[in-house]
Amino acid sequence: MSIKIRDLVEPLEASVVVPGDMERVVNGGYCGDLLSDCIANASEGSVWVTVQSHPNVVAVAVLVGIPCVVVVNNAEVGEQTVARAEGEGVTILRTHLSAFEAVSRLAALGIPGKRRRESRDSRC
Amino acid sequence: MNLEILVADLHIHSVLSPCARRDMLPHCIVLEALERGIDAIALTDHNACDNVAVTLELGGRFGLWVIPGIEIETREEIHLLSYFPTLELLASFNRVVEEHLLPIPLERDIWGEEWVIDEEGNVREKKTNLLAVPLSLSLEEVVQEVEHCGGVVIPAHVDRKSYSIISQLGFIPSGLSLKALEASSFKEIEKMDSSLTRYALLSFSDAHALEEIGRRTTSFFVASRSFDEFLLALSGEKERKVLSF
Repeated sequence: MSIKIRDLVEPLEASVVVPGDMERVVNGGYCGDLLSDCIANASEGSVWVTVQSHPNVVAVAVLVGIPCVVVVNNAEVGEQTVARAEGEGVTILRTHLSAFEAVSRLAALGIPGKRRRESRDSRC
Repeated sequence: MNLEILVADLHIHSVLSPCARRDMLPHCIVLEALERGIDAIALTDHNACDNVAVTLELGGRFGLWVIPGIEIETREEIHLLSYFPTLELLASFNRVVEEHLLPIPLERDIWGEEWVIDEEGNVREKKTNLLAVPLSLSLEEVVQEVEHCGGVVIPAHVDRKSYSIISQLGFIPSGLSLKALEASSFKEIEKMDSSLTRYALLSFSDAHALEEIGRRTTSFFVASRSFDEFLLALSGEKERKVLSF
């Protein structure tokens, strides 16, 4: 069963801030608010759940190949971010749900957590 | 052009920062800096500047250049060092900071205490709200507000894994008018991203305890101890420059 971006809107109780390509299939998910961490660990084709809404979110999505960003906690998505996402064709969904709740809903749809690198021992 | 070389440590926390050790009193900081041969300092407490006035006064008395400063935490949890030409301009910027600081009561057992110090070195006030929290302003909004007050922003410890512009945002957003970056180590910086070397690279101590003052410094080649000269050195204009060790 393939899950498309449009299938995420209702379960996430989200508003579509930037539609992008709602027919794109998502093959996994990643959650995190450090953009450097997302660059390092998220994988192509995933939906990305984050509270960040800085314009760099879109740039990171393009870099990693993420078709859809879910902004949680109703965090405000500014004009610059919207303009950039429209230019790049990246979908932005915005939900009042917390990151935890949003990820649970996505998992319930059958979307697996995915990361590019295997986890390894690391200290921070 | 006769330039003097001033050794600067412009990232120092006083007892106003809950994470600083209780010996970081303005009087002790000034004497410690002088003892270590430092010519210029800045107190950069988290989202507050109440101890800057007394430090400026002490600096004037003992011949230490004190640049009015503050360390801001943006909504994205990025730490930004910000410096201003005068105490008054720092104070007007600080009013913006106060408006955008979430009122979270300070739990002293968890975070520590936040002391404002008077001219005689006594604790004048203990702050009741936590200062080490993000403002509700974005990176871009903070930069705009600082510049509006005549100040300059230098992203702090960009090589760290937390609270740095690069850890939080992946890379430096385009369209920001930055002149300089602070890092603890430049080897790491060049490994991270070679394009970062187009900024002036500065290194300061981020001291939270007296013996840490001056553990990293940057030398400023300037014609006089003025904010304009400080800015020229950051931009590398008119033979002014910075060198970090």
